[in-house]
Order: sequence, then structure tokens, then C-alpha cells
Amino acid sequence: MALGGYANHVARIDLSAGSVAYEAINEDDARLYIGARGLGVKYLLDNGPQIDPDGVDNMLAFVNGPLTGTEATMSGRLAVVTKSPLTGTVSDSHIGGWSAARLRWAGFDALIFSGKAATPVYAYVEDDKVELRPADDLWGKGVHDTVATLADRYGENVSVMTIGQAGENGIRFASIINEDDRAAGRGGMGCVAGNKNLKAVVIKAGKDRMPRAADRDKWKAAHQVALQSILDSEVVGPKTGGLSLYGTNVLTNPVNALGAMGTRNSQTTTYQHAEMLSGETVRETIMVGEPTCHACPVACKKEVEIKDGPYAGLRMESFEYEPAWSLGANCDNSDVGVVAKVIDQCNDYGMDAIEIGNVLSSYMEATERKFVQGPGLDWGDGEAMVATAELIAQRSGIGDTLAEGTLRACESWGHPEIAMVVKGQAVAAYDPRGIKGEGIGYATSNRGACHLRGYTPASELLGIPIKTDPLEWKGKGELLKVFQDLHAFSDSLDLCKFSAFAEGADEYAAQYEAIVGETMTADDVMLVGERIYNLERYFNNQAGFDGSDDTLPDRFTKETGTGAAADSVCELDDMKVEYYAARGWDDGVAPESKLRELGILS
Amino acid sequence: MEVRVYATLRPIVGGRSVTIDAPPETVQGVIDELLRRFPDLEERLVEKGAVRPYVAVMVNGRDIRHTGGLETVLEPDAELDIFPPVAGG
Repeated sequence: MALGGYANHVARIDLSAGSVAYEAINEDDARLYIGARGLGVKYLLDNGPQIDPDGVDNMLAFVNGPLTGTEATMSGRLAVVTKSPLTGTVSDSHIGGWSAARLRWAGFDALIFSGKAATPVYAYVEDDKVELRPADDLWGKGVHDTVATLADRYGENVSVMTIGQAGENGIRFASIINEDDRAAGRGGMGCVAGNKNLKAVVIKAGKDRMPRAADRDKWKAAHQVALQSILDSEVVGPKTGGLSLYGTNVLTNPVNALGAMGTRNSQTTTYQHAEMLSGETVRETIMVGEPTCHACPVACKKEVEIKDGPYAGLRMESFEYEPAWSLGANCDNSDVGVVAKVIDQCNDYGMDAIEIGNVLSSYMEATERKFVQGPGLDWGDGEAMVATAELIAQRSGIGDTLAEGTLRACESWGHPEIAMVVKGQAVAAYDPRGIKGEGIGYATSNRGACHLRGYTPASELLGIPIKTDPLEWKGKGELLKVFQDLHAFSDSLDLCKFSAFAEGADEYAAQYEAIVGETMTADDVMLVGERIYNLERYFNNQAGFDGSDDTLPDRFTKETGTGAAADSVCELDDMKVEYYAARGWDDGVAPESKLRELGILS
Repeated sequence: MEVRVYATLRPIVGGRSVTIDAPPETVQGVIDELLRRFPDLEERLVEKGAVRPYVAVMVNGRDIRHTGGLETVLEPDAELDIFPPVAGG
């Protein structure tokens, strides 16, 4: 293979046949789509965009990028790619820790699962080979028990990515979790694994097979520049930057100050108890550890131990901003113990902590408005939140309805208007009345509502690359396109998104060029990112999605917020016009001319 | 006036907020008073006479970079929050 960086080794695992076949990387596709997210979506497109996401024809791929598992700073990530059973769209979800690096060190660029095993299995990966092994003894176990059992079985240098009971039970927002409680959290990756009777992927590999750069001299220079930018950053700088010291939850207070903290299922946009759940309070009161991922000096993970109340003694990671919001302000719950407990349940059952917070908050609103029969769920009832999370994982009682996800649950009650979702996936911790870029971001995300496809708060809160007004809609469509394209590229390398608080297209290009040995400029980075974003849109268009699906709940566009967003609604229609013009799309559809221009169609 | 500060600024001022008994008319006056009382804040907050890049000074939830900068006028009941560079996801 002419390209450096890749293992040039992909396993296709047919679970129905119980067989494994190996193939090389398609070099043309690698040049066009890089790896991880981009290459994974290409595999998914080739598998067919119209297949049933709940059926045996769906594909589940674990895909590394060319920088995964290298010396590159923040390179411990891979993309899990599938057609989402929650949204019906393309979806990719990235997992941290050491799973991705070990997969690369075991000699693989990707594992692509198809079909369905007759009985539960797990995939064992070591030294360029994949074997399917029985998982009957693991089926029914939670993530933590499964990891412990397999770690005992296989010893050192092992990573386990597994589903818990939620994936086995077909919860549409089930996740895949690893030994560090890092998650491929969104989109129902664990549901697809469960549908396939795939319990886990076990990888045994040490770093003696860490890939080397194609051009060592170039790599030394590129790596040093990228690393120095991280070390010098006021945001991510190790032990000095806000993200490093306080974790992602450092955002609770500023987002609340901006009037962008959806509260009580986004009925208001400010939360009076935000400080109690903030990263500052967590660090001061319950933080006990700061774990990290492969090749990352930032260590944004925050391990906590609850000191009092019914969950005293609970030690878990990680107390992130997203669940602090989804299970906190969003549910009018200010009890850190309850937030930690439900996050831990999500880590063990294997569920998306963002979606479950929205499921619970919509159930709370439905209860308040008497849309549901029975006792329901009251705002801020922590004990009942914990009990309901367990019902969801087991699909028991009301949990069976809630396990279908926020939109389907609200539809079953006849009130989809209280589902804060886009394309069936729940929104994240940025109310688009207070941070408007996230409004167009949620609406046009190819995987359903997502705050990370194009992270405009970098500009609207922080000022990277330029400061823009969070309450101004003009310019946000164009700004979003830049962020979406840049992140599509970094997700394909696959570098942690937080690298973008210090690095940019120049640093990404230099690292790619040194590792892979192919010329890459900053302009190329943006072009490749645009190509990947259009590839995803092409998939969705063929799956039946168009501009009518790029929308937001009426609550965001018709009801004003509170606090700094008191007079604000999200001007989605105006932003869509600007965004589609920047994209060259016709009402949410990537036209053939654009696909040819980008080299997606030849 | 209570000036609320966050994250890495808290250890410098020794708490979550600073009380200013005679509220200045503009944000510039607040910053001057904070730097007088807590000189270690200077390298975190200001650079060449302006608020440092990525530092968010908010009056009633509005970043002063969009309301007139340090000359932003403070009403008597204004709420003032100061954030060092923070981000996440």
C-alpha cells in the first residue's frame, strides 16, 4: 500500500455465517474519506442506505483513522458507524480510552460486522486475527461485570467494548461502553450490537505495534507543533486550562449565564441551581480522580465519589457536562448524587446519558400536563429517576415505552410537541434560544440533534476562531459549515474534538501529511471535511430525508427563553437559507452537481 | 455589587464572588477595582489595556464584546459574571 498510517487490514465479520474475511483498505476511498467517520460512512453507504436499521442487513463498523493509536496527541479514538435505530439516519459515535489504540496495535483499521449470530458471541481480536467466541455466559451481565469477566480471562493489555442489558433488550439509545466507562454513546450503537447478538469486542494488543509515521522528520516537527499548541492553550492546557481542571462540566455556569441552559424539558433556559452541579463544585467537593485517554495530557475526565445521601460511596466516572445538564437542569434535579447514580446506571446498562435525560424530562412534562396515566414522574424526583432508568434498561412497565426514545415515547402519548428532538434524537445541553448556532447545528446534523457536528459555541462563547454573538443568527449558517467540515475531518483522523480548542486545519494537515505521506494543505482539510459531510447527507437523502427533516421543536422557534435569552427565539428558517446557500444544497438535498464536484460521484 | 467569578479565577479571589461597595459606572471601573484588590488577576484578565482573548465578561448574560466592551455602562442592578477561557462539549 502506498499510504502510510494505515494497517491496510480490515476484517469483515459475517455473524450469520460465523465467518471472518480480511481485505485491504481501498486506497482511493482512504484518500477521499481518510478513515474513522469518513471511511466508516463510505462502508455504510456501500452497504445500502435503505436497509432496515433494526434488521440483520444493518452494518456495525468499528473504524480507526490513520492517526489512531499513533504518538499524535489526543489520538485515542475510533468511530462506531451504523444506520441508527433511533433516527434512521447515518450515525457515527466515537469512543475514547485505549480501545481504539489497541485495535490499531492489534493490526486493524476496521472491524465490520454484518448479519446476526444465532446465539450470543463476542469477537476476540489479537495479532491481525478475529475469532468469534460464545458469549452465553456473558449475556445478561452489565458492562462492569462483562469487562471484569473478560479482563480476568485475557489478562493484561486488553480492551473490552461491550453492551449491557440495554443493548440486549433493544433499547433504541443503547450505547457501547469500554473498560474505562468511555462510550460510543449516541445513536443506538449498542442496540444494533444487541440486535446482532454481538455482546462485545475484546482486543488484546500492546503498544509495541504502535504505527510509525511515513515521514519521521516531518512527523517530529508536526507533532511538536500540535503538542505545543495543546500545552500552551488556555482552554485545554494540562493542569492549567479550564477544560483540563474542571472537565467538560466547566460549561455549566457560562452556558447558564448565557440563558442557554434548557430547564424542565426546555420550558425555560436558566437554572437557579446550576452552581450546585457545576464543574467548579464537583472539583471542590466530590472529585477523586482525573483519568485520561491514550496520548492525552489534558485528562478532562473527572472521577467522583459521592459522600452522603442514598448513593454515598458510589465512585464513578465521568461527571460530564452533558449528563450534568440532561439529568440536572433538564429534569429540575440539583442532586449531584442522583446525577452520578444515573450516569453510573448508563455506564453499566449501556445507555446514552443525553437521550435518557430527555426521555425522563419529557415524561416529567407529560406527567405535569396529565398526558399520561398513573403516578408518572415528578420534576426532580431523584429516587424515581433512578428507578425509572432501571425500568428502561429492562424494558419493564413504563420503561418499555421510554426505551423507544424521546420522540417515540411522546408520540405514544399523543404529544410529540414535548419531544425536544431532531430526526428522532434528543437535543444536547445548549438551548438554541441562547446559543443560536446550535439551533442550525442541531437541525442540520446528519445524525439527528447533536452539539458536536459543528461546535459553534467555540465561537459564540469562547471566540475561536472569531467571537460571534450567541444571540445573533446572521452568519451562523456559514460559521456552522466551517465547523462541520473541520470536525468531519478531525473525526476521520480520528483525533479528539477537544483538540480543536488549540489546533486547526494547519496542524491537522501537517500531522496527516507526516503520518500518511500524502500531500495535505489546510484548504484540503476543509475540502475533505466538506466531502465527508456531503457523503453523509447523500446517505440520508437516499434514506428518505430532506430539508423538511432539518427542523427544530416549536418550543425553540416560537417560545422565548429566559434570562439573557428572555426575548429570544431561534430563527431557524433564516439560518437554513444561509446554510443551504453555503452548502450548495437544494432544500436539504445534496444535488448531483455538488456530489460530482466533491468527487463523491464520478 | 456582587461580581461573580468562575473556574481558575476563584482561587485568586478566594471565593465565588467579590463585593464592590461603590459600583462603578462602567465595566472598566469594575476591572480596575478587581485588579487593585487582586493584582494576580491581571495576567488572567487583561492584555494591552483590553480584556484578554477568550475571557468572557458578561453583564446580565451579555458578553461585553457585543455591548461596547469595557465602556459598557452598568445599571444599578446589573449582574456581572467573569469567566476565564473555558470550553468543553
